[in-house]
Amino acid sequence: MTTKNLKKGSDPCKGRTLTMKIMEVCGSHTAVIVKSGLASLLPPNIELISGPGCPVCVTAQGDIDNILEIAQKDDVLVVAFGDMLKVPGTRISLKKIRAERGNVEIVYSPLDVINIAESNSEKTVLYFAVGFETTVGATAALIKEAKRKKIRNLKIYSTHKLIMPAMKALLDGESEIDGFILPGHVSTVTGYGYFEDIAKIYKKPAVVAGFWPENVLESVEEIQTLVKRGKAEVKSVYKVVLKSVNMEWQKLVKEFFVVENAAWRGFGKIPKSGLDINDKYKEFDAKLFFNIKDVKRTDKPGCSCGEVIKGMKKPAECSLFGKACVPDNPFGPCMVSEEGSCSVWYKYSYNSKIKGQKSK
Amino acid sequence: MDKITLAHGGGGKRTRELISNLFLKYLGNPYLKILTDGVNLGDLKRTVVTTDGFVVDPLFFPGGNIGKLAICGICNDLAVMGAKPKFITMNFIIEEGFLTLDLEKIIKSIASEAKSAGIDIVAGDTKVVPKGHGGGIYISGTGVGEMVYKNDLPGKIKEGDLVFVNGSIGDHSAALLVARNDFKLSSKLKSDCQNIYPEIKNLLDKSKEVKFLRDITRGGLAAILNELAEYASCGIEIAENSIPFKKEVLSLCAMLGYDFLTLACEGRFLAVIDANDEKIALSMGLTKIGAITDNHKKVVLKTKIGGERVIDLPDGELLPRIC
Repeated sequence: MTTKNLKKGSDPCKGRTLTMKIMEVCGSHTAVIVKSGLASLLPPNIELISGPGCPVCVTAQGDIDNILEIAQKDDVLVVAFGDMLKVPGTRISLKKIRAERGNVEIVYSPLDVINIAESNSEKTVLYFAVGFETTVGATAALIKEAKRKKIRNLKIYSTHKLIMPAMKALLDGESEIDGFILPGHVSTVTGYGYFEDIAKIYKKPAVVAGFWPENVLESVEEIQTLVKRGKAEVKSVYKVVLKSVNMEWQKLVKEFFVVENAAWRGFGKIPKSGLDINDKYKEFDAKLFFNIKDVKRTDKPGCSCGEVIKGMKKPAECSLFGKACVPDNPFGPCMVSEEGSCSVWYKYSYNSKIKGQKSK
Repeated sequence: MDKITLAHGGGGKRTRELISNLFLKYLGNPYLKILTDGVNLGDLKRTVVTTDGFVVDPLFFPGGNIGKLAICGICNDLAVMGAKPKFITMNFIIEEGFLTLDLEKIIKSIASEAKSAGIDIVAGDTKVVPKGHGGGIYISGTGVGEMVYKNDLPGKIKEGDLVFVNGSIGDHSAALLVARNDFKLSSKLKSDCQNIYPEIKNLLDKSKEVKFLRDITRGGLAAILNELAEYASCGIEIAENSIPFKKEVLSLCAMLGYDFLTLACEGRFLAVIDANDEKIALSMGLTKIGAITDNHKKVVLKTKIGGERVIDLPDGELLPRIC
């Protein structure tokens, strides 16, 4: 399908109106869909819903509060990705702690943490590891390098998560999802055979897409065709992705991590959905070092991020959206990240912005 | 005199040496040479004044350095007011230990940029701060210009007026990002740092009515468009296809998660002109990127695939110390 076929209100179902809810479980897809204007072009019977695809958003409030508590200890230097800084904790954020204490640094690559740990040997350097299957390899590389260099002052707080168990949790609940746009980055790392259970067990079609709007549109078309034919299959329109499950990646996960039950925002505990640091490398495990026993289940009262992440609420349906919660002063994490659906919709959505203005 | 010491800022012998061996040597002119506490600029008509500070990191970057940036930045602020830049005063806050050779390079750039802009550096001051208390060198300056445009800017904007830019967006920020080497990237990107007065003078002379001029700096095109919408109390429709860009800049943005519309430029401007002047603007090499509308009051991007989205004001700390 090319963009030439796209006209506002045109229906690729050709005559047959089939209402369809398709979920994208990758924050980068959410961003592409809204920023490219694709969302404004789809016919009304196709509803794209954002799922738990933004790593910042799905991180449990309890994990964030744990990090914020550690960050206020003496002689601790916190290293995190930029987005993590703005995420509001129950009382404070890393950004505020940085302004007050100056002990928070931003990195783009986990390997940069090595230099920071080496040049701050008198401090305990706490790395806040977030992300899905895609970023696990980079944290593994960090652990490997830290071990090789015998770095003693580095502690890693892993909130790494697996997207597949969350998709299963959604389908086990009361979801009305007809199909999934599968994450291109995760699939590149794992192979898209990784998602086979979505078709086999849950009988839903799922299609891997890349990160340009035409390709996302292709995946939507493919999902529609599969739904119409009643076929549950896992496919890819993102040509660089292989189907075969990537054994190298699985070996890496096994070597450096253990799969554990993990707390997610909105979901609570999802079985076998998080990666903790393997005992072989326990000298780097921040949860052991700082004696973190558990993650409290304390989603912020009044915040709808949990429901937004699960696709149960659209960003604009939250009573705080654009009022008490804006990118400058976020109440919940979905308004923070460039991949958070609230932030993406708030910043770029034509409809949510134009509303109330003179219409054409 | 290989490094700047605190004595260079002491007001005594070393300060005098610094002034005559570097500043007067390269920047000397009748206004500066008299070394008085102030300077009489004579009769000026319809005077425009601006002031700006420069803390860029790194100090030397592909396409320029902090000295060139300071002169261009000040000239550009005057130019977009419809004024010809004439005089600049400059303050140098130098960190102890700064290489004199680097200072000389910066002053030479200031001299050559000032010469080609036809302006005089008429007053200056030097301070030296202890090591660790500054980023090498900071420059601040004040510019004085004389209005050359018949009207005051900005003027009255109406539906159908056209929006133009003078070149690719975001080169300056992107070149700096690469030059900082935090990402171990390399590219041939150069900062767009340049004095835009000649281009603006040409536009002001040839077109019947220029209504709005702004140099595209911090916050990028996204910020300027939103300022324009707010000022004119109108909507703007921008065609994504028409915004000029360099491929390297977009790749860099894709890699690092930046929106190129929010990246700063240092030699680009946005102009709103009457639709009757379209041909003139195009013949000058300006690029039409959109038009003013009364349909709404937002900045709306018509995307490449035919969709629509809002261009919002950028928020937060995008890229520190770019200018």
